[in-house]
Amino acid sequence: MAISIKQFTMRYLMIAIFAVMTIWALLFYAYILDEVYDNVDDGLRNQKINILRAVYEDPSLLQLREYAVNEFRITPLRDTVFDERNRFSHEFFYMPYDDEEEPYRVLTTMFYGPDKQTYLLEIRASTVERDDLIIDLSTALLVLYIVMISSIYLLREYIVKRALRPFRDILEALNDYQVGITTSFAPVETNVLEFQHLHQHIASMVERNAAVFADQKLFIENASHELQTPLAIAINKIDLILEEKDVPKAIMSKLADTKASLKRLIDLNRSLLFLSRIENRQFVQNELIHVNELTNELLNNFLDVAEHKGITVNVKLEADLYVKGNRDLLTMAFSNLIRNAIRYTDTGGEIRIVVDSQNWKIANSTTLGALPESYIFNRFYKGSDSIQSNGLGLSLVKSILQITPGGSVEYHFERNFHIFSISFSNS
Amino acid sequence: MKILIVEDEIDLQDVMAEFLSAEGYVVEVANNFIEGLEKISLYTYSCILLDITLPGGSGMQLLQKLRGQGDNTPVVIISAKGSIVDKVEGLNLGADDYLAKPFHLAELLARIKSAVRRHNNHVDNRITYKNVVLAPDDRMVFVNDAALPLNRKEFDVLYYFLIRPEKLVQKVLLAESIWGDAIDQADSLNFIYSQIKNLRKKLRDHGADVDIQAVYGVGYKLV
Repeated sequence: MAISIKQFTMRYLMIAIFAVMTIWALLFYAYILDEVYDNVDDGLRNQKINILRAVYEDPSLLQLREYAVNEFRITPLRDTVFDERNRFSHEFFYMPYDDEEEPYRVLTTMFYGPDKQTYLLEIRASTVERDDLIIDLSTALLVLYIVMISSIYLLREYIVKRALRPFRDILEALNDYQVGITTSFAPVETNVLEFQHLHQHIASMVERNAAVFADQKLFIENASHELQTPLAIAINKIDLILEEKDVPKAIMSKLADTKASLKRLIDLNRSLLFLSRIENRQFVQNELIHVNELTNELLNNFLDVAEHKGITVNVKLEADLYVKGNRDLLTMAFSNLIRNAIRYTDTGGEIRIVVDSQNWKIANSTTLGALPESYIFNRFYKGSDSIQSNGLGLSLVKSILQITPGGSVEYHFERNFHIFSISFSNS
Repeated sequence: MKILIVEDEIDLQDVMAEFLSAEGYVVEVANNFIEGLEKISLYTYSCILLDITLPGGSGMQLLQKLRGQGDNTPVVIISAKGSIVDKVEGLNLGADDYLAKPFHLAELLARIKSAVRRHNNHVDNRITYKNVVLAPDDRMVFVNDAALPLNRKEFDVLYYFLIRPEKLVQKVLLAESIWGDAIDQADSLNFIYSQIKNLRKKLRDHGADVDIQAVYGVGYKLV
């Protein structure tokens, strides 16, 4: 599962801080304990000196055999090797106040009393309870840990949000980026070096893409363009042969077929040229076109064909539709749709054209079902009939409407009618 | 009638020249801008066919020079560019027509004829063949001096036949030149046939001595 950079950093921070604090807690505990013992031991040593002095002044003190208010005891020793070193140890004694055994630091040493006897001196001092210390320390650290983590969390919310804003801006700009349409990359304001670099790299990539894409488009245009002349020569030579006298029938019809194939090639080439010109935005969109009039002009040609195929054409011009755009392009769009309607309507079928103040709609009856809406506008999509179509007709319609200001085209299927609607939002 | 072809593609130039010569025109050719300029300045032609992209300059410049000299010889621009801008620019500079490559030779002939006809509007432009007379400017057809009522398309079809009587008129030419985009190639066979049938019937009913004959399924000719 993908996690955001915030969660990602947080997870690692939590683990890292926990580890650091644990190590630190152990060291701190050892250090504190050492310091406490050191302190207590110093006190005990000092007390030893005081006790020895007191014993010499008042030998009755040698009789103190039990710990009491004095917190020391003296035991006479016999037959022991004398050792005056101070030895420290841990012992537990019952403490009435706490009603439990409590830890004590005990200094054990030997000394010669005023009577030249060897005595064992034990001095005790209450010291820290290690469990308590551990619990206290842990609690303190836990609180510190929680406070740290939550303040890091809050800070991070703020910092990351601010620091990553240019990143999100870059993402948005990338999202808006379309090859061939966006030629420059929206600038992103940031003083974060990494984001500046990221932006620079993307911007230069976008520029390179735009250049490559432009080259590519120009290539298609030039290639189609260069094909025109040889195609012209080929069909014109066929025209010349057809003019010859006494050409055998078989050769004549083969040549006519060849010319028909060349004609398809020419049509395809013209469509490609048109498409790339549309994409290269080589058309001026500033003519005011009376769509009703244009429709009638086009129908003038198409009605003969529809009539010939036995198709009824109903035209309803409900309101005047004026569109600002390019006459040649719109002519092509409308005639492609009308031609398709005639092509794919069976004999006895019906075509309806409705023009109102914003829309131009054409519907044709069909016995087949709906068309796949999602890809009929793709290049080289072909329906059932692949001979007459070059697969560019609807793609051209779509491209034309895309560059016509406010234009759009949609397909839907309703009660056995294919309906193509062209809308002009700013007509 | 003398025609100048300014075209740098030699193959295309040859093919046009051969066709137009067979149609009875005297054809001269120029391969580039300089040659074109020379011929235009030195001689007079009935019609000039002008390519736009030429070595040494543009056909548009040539057209500008020609019109600049006050010469209004009919000019048909022939261009592979086929772009609308060129078409508009060419027509604005005073070209009489614009034909995009590739084209049918018969279409080229029709364009030349109508350009020349418009140029000579004070002359009688009527085309006569047998007892049929076609007046292009009034879009009227007469059979034995009686008007033959034809609709627009029928008139256009007959015009294509009358400018080249006894010659093959290809179905594809009729389909493309008269009905344009409207016809799919697969449909055109039947469709043109029924259009021609109607036209034949009208001609026959009005006592025209001409008839339209099918030529091997490739096209028709007027006899």
